[in-house]
Amino acid sequence: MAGVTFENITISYDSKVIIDNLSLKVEDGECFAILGPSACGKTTLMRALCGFKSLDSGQIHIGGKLVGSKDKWKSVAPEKRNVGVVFQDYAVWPHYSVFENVYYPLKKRKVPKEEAKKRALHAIEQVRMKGYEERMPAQLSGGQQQRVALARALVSSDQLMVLDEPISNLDANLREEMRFEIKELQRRTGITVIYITHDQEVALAIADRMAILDQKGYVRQVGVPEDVYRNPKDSSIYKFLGVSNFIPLERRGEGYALAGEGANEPFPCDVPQELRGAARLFAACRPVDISVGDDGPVKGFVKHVVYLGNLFEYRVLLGGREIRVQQDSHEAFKTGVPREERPCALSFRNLRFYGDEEGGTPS
Amino acid sequence: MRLLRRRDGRMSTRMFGGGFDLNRILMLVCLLILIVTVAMPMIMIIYNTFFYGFTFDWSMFSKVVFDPANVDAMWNTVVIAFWVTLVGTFVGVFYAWLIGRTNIPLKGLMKTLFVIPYMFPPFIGAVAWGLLLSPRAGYINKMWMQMMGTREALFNINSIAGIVFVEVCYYFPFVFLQVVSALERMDPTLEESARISGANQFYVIRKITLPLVAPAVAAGAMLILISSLSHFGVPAMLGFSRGIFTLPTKIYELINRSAGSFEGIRQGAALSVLLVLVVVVALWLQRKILKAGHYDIIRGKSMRPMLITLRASKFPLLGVCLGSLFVIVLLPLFIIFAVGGLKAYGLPLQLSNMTFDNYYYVLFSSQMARDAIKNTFILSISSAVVAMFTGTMIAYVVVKVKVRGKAILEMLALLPYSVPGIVLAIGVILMWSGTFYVNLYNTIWIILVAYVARYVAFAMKSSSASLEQVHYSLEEAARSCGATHLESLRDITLALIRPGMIAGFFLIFLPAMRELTTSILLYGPYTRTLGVAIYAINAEGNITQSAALSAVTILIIMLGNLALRFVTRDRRSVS
Amino acid sequence: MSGVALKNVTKKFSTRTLGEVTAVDDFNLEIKEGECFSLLGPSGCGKTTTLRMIAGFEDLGGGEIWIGDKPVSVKKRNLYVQPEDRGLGMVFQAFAVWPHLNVFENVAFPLRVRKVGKSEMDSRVAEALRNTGLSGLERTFPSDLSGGQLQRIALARAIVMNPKVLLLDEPLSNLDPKLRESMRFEIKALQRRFNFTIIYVTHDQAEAMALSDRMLVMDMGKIQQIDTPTNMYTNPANKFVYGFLGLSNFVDVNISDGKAYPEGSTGQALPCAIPATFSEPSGTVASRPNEIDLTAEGGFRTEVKARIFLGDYTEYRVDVGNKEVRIQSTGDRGFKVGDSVGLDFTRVQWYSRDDSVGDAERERRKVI
Repeated sequence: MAGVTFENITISYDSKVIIDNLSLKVEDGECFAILGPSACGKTTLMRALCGFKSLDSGQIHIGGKLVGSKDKWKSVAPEKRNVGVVFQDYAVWPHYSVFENVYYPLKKRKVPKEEAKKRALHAIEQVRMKGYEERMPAQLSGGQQQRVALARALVSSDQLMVLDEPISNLDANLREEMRFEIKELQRRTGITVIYITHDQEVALAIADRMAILDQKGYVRQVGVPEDVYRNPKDSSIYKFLGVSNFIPLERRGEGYALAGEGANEPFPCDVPQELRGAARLFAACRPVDISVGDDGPVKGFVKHVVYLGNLFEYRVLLGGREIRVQQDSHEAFKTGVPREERPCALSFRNLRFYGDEEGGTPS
Repeated sequence: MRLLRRRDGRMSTRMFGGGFDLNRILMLVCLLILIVTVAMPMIMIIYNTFFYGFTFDWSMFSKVVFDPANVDAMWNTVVIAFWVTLVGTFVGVFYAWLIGRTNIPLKGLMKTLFVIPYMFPPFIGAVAWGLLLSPRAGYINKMWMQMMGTREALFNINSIAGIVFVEVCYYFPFVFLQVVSALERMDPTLEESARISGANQFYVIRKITLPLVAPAVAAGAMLILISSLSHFGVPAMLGFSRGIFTLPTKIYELINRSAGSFEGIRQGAALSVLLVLVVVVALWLQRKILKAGHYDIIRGKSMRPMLITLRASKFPLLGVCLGSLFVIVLLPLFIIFAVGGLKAYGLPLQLSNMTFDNYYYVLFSSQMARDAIKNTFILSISSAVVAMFTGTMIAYVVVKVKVRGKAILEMLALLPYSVPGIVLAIGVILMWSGTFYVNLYNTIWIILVAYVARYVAFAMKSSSASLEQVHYSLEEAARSCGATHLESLRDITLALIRPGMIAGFFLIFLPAMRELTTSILLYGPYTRTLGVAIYAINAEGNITQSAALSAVTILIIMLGNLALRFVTRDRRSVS
Repeated sequence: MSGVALKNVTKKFSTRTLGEVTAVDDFNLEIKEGECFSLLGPSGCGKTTTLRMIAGFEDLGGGEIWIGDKPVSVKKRNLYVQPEDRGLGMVFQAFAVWPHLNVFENVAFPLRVRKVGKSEMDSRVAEALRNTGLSGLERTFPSDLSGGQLQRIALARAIVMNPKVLLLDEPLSNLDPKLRESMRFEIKALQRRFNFTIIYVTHDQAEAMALSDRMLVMDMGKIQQIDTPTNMYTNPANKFVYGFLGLSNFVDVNISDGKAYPEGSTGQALPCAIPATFSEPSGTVASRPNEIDLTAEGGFRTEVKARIFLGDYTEYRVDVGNKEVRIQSTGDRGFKVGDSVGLDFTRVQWYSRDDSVGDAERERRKVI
């Protein structure tokens, strides 16, 4: 069990700075997600943590011990950092069997044979690959290879595990199953896990705490998933965390109205203190928090009605923009499914307000 | 101090980092090796052609280039290469298409058999066809003359047409293999979508299949072209007696006639420059004419391509295939083994005329033959080992190491691919005959140096392919599991490229075994190779013995190929 | 009339490892003209094989296929119309756009084959490109275009001849999710405009339900159900269809004294009424995660095993007897791991214990 601290980390490749003065603290025993869009630098951060990339400045500590520093002679070599890693492409060695793959770290750490064999078999069982010990990776599916990589990481270290997009290449069902298993594994063993991904669904489901990075590698928000999801600090985080609708509003006397074409429609809402008085704002809303019906405070126009089984999805024109609405199909049948190419009325819940649509400056 | 641009647009500075030293040393070592073995010989050729001592003198070059006999040789070279490429490409595409796209029976068998010429030394094929179709004594011609009661041969193999025929037999697999592979891996929906759009089978072939396969055809055709332009064995075996010369054989004749004098070698060098120019022009022309791009047409899921059902034409076409296999593969094999067992050449092929004497002679009595076998083995094995390790080291630098200037490394390593073997031989002679205080002439070492220079390219290509499959994350995973840098190289990288290295070994060992073009210029009284020995015995007139030695060579090569198949079959190795 | 009809269509393959495999088993299907019809099923269920038989790339093991009022494949009579003569349009999963031809030539190909005159060809191609949003890209080559654009080229090429029937083989599975959604709307719009009959193969049930007028679910070569999306979702014919169409909970129960006791539960019965038509002593109760309510008091008592935050939804996992049941609700009910909670099943479906037709065959094929 070990916590991890990143202090003022700067990393660059050739002449480009990838990570700029980043600081993060991961608590001992927590499952911490680092969430960010592709190519934002999170993999670079992970490589620095594992020892494959040098730092331009700053320090990395694992379990209180200094492992990464801009001075080469102070940094600890990757093989001595005691970190279990699952790489994005699993990196399961094709010339070793499942057992040999999982056994390797124990051999390198000079664990006595009997003990090592026991631990390897136990890890294989923990990832539900019992019975596959003699198989070669070429005979395994993607999901099975990923589990081998997981088992191997488990025996590599009892203090820290770093997972880099480990399930992005799996199909939807397997993805869901595996993320649950990873979480269960972490809960049972109490190991610190740093999970790196661009998939916000996984991050929200699996993390005890999470950090959100933006396109340029700056940390925008850190917190518990529920908190981050309900209170995104700016609009780009809001958008990144899930399907979102942004409704432009204009100041109209004391209140606000829909901006854009079809303007002048008053938009009744409770704008928070710090944004009151702004000439223009955006109201952000999740599809599931909008109701479409015959009565409601705001008028719109239904363009498309899509049946998805458990849900209905509506595309509604509002103030010249198309917004997305989701409704449980059950309810829809009870109250009457809206018709395409018809006007409708909308009501909103859980609105959040932002000054702009693209996201603010880094903190 | 370096200037850096940050992601939010601001600039900052950074002290220069180190840690490149080991990589730089590695690269310099590789560069040195390549310069000495590959670049210097080339430079020596150009230098000696245009400089006498230290003065620029291009009189010899112009004299050599405008000599009518040499112009003749150049013309022959071009004409032969043109026809060989044209016919060989056509034949290769025809068979590839039959096997890759129709439901002709016996595909597996034919695929294996069609590849056999690929492993044959073409000059042994020339020997065989000489036995069959030489104007007076060739067995087929004799049979024909008897049957028809004439003194006119059916076909005179000692002609340009004969040379073209034999070269086509041994070079068409270049195109065949490329096109068969392209057809098999092509995404069938590319053709299916054309069918659904209203096109019948033939329209699809014309407008879709053939254009998409064109890059593979062009690649194969290019190989045929270079091989034919550079080839020595077949024109030598079939053309000398009638005074038909190509540039490679003319170079040899020049040097031979001058008994290895420096003047002779200089002239040879001049002709080499001419030959290289011809090769370069031919390549450029071909690239312009074909201008085929590179298409990504590999299929994803395992889908079976649509096969054309041959109806009435199935058995006639099968007959054509089997017939040509018989002619190309079986007939020459048969005649070589048969004549090797004859008491004297010219005797009718009956049991009463057979003997094991020739085989006994080449295997046990003839010192030259036994020396040749020994030399060839030593040379092939050692050059394969040296070239493989050197090639792997260079491949490692090119693929894995982040250092500037590796483009030069790659270029130098691959240069020998387009340089004719005989040219390389001359360069090696000029380089290693005392000019730099090292004289290897007439020793086995000079042949070794030439082989290594020639084959490093093969090893580098094969090791690069293996190394590229070893993604860096595989090594890093080992580091994260507690392995040191060295341990990860040993446990992971080396283990994963080992099969590729072994394949690379055979990739060099086998061609080296059947090589003639380079060693014909470099051999000394005790350093004959198998190719040279066969050639010499044949030139002396001991036809049956040369046939026997050819047969033995074929056996050795076939065994070598079997060993290669065995060693490179899919086991617990890289997927 | 250009519907498509399959009558007793069968197709078998002989494989090296498994012997004979029946890919399509006695298919009977009538697709109406102008209908958007989906073939839905897991990979290896035979849906692509079926489509390829309609296209003419595979022959039949038995049965007949009719397009409109013309038979195109009849096993008994050895009648087999070539693909190029069937008058269909087809879009493939990997686009199958020809890299050596530019966009114009790709789309014009069907017209060139039929030797259509230049002016008509130009106008038809222009219209097809307009309808798929590719105007202006005529001279571009495929290697310079994105996946979405390539798929549109394939679509344009398929519709340029105004086919009566359009076949689509998982056309969107190689595109990223956002693009998939917008392409779905475009395909639907095209269909409404030109009134094609569309036969759409996919393994994505959301896609099938969003697009289709009617759909078919198949498993191991056998048709499981043919119906409209709404009917099929609300009344799945068996457990396979139920499970395939969305997240599901299956609880095996034993009936006694008119109450349903989950397997492995200690004396607690499910608070669900047993339908009058259900007469077996045991069965399976199926429910959707969003059709179960959580209550503090009452309902089927159990304990919260796990709680997963999913953004707009929160998922709870509980045990009902020896089975794990998932519940998804919007917002947070305030229950934590370890809390005692009650389940209120608002809607369930009843099935016999073993009604899964394809399971045995699935096991057999897995033995690879």
